[in-house]
Amino acid sequence: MDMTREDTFGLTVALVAHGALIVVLTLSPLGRKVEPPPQRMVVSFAAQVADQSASPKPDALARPDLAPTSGAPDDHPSPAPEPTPFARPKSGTAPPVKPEAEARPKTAAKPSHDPKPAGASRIGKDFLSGIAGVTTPGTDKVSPGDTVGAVPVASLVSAISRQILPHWKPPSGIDTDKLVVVLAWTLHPDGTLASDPVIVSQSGLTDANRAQAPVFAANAIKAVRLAARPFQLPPQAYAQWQRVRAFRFDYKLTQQEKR
Amino acid sequence: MRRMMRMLIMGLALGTALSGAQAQQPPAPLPNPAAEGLTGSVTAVGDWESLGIAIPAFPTDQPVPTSAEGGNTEALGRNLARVVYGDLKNNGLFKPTGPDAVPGIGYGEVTAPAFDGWRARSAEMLVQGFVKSGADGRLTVGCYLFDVALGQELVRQGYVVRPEEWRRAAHKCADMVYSRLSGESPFFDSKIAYIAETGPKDHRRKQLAIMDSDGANHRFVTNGQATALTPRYSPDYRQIAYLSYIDGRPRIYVYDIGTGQQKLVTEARGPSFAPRWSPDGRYILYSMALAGNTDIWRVPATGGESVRLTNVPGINIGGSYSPDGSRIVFESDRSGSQQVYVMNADGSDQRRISFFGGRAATPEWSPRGDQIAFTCICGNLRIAVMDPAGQNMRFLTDSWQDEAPTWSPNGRIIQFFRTERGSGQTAIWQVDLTGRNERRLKTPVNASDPAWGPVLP
Repeated sequence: MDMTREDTFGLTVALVAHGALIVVLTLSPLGRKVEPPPQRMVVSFAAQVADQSASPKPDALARPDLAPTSGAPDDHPSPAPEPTPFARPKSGTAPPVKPEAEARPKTAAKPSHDPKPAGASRIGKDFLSGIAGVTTPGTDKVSPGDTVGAVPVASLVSAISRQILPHWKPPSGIDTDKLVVVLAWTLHPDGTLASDPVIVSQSGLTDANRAQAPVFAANAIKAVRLAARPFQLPPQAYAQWQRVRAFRFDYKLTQQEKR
Repeated sequence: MRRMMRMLIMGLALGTALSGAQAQQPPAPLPNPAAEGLTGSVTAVGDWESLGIAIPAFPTDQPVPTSAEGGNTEALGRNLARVVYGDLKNNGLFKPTGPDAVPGIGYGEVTAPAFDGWRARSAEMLVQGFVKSGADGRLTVGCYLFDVALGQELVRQGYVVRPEEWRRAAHKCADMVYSRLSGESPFFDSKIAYIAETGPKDHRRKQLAIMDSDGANHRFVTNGQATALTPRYSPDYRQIAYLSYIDGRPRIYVYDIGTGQQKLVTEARGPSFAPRWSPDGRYILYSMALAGNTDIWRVPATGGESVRLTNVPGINIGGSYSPDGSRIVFESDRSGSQQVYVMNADGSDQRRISFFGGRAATPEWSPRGDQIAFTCICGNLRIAVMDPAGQNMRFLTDSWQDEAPTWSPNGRIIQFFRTERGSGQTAIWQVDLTGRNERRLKTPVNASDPAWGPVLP
């Protein structure tokens, strides 16, 4: 069978196109990196978004603003926050500090840093003498707030969880991974138990794990007792960790262990 | 045992809301309202971590001769601790250290352990006990379980036994420890009947044999002249129902362990097999082949009129009572292949419960009622469990040929027999319900058809 010129041409084009396609498909995976699977990480959830100003130190004394420099070069790079374009009135409504006790002259936050009021500063020489009513210079690096913030509370929970975990050994058996027990307890300021842990609730019981449920709860209570010898928690936040209202104990099998 | 991997999953944190006024003096211990306080969670992830248990030899107040193993109470105390150690070692939950690996204790130390020393040996739990011999030769054995980490006693028991029953005291002690730490019912103080197999493959000699749950006190019951199969203990341990080929005809006999007598349960018209007791011991189920059909029958254990429970074309066989005696699980091929069916104890309301790929045979209802074990003919023969509704099927073993499951008295461990590919060697194995702890039981010869009896009173 004879092929016309058009046939030959079409066949050639098809062959070339197929070849090109094969080359493209062969080459395209090159240079692509295999993404390594993500590493396991610990995630903390903060349950609440504050509806009021919150801080790890609600009564923080803020470091006073430093005078901005201009003109003559400074020996040290200025650690001061944003240069304030306008001088603040001396009567001081600006720095959120607590007026208490008697007045005392205030010194600069960092003695090593001696701002040179050279140049065109519009802040008067009396700026560094401080604000009436402040006893000591504020050195806190965080802002004051109305309450203890949600993040420190999450860290407290995380710290408690971390200290219980090595002692938390749920019993073996089928369906024990479905069991959940919630405990409550109170603590002394030294981190020991003020009251024995009590069971708030227990759930996930099935016919198969019913026998394990009391042991499951007893082991959770034991874990708290062993962790409270004593709990290592920040003493200044005692008001927050004095009472643990509901702590959930559960058990998860890893996938390869579920047959 | 694999090391337990643990990961921390942080829970929700709910802040305590302090008012602005309170915030002026946060370090002061403010009494929180009852509704407030921290909430959070802790999650253990991974495998069960074996509990380290130290078991020193049981001391005695004064060594006196006894007819129990060891000759005197001091040696017996060591043997008692060894039996407890053996029981706890073999179920995969614990990591015991026996009397041959830990120092002995004084008699006065039994109720007041030196916890610091045990903590240094990284024992989490401590089993201590004592043994005394009374004036009548009877033994008093005390057994105590201590939590070393907490430094407190968890549970204690005492037993008075005849010298020849000394192993039972140790099994009871192991049962106490197992129950307290796992939450399950005890099972060590129980017996197993099985078929001992000897001789070449095509000319097997099959004898009925019995032993304790740990393989001790082994005894052959029949001499092997007639092939014996499928033994089952009566609930009171006094009798064993089994299938015997005396005169070459398969029929069901009940063997009385005390007297050594055996009697025919029913003069069946056809070959009968697969005997099972009712939980109250009053009835025996059996299967009888008549004119190409096999059906399940029930006969009073004392003998009498048989009642036919199934009447469907095909092979209906087996039959295992639920623990309350109200229902029976059995095997039938009425739908074309072997499957598991459930019926009421009077034979009504028969329905199929197994609907998965493959065939299913020899179903056995757990003594706890929550599971049914069976042999899944799914390529290989494998032991599997499902709940009584036929849901949540799980494989427990994965070998070439595992069959004939029987439950431990507490319904947490299953024994079965495994046939080796090629050699045809058979042995009794057991596996727990998680499928993770599998082990072989030691028997003097090849073994098949295990039957686990209830816990001794």
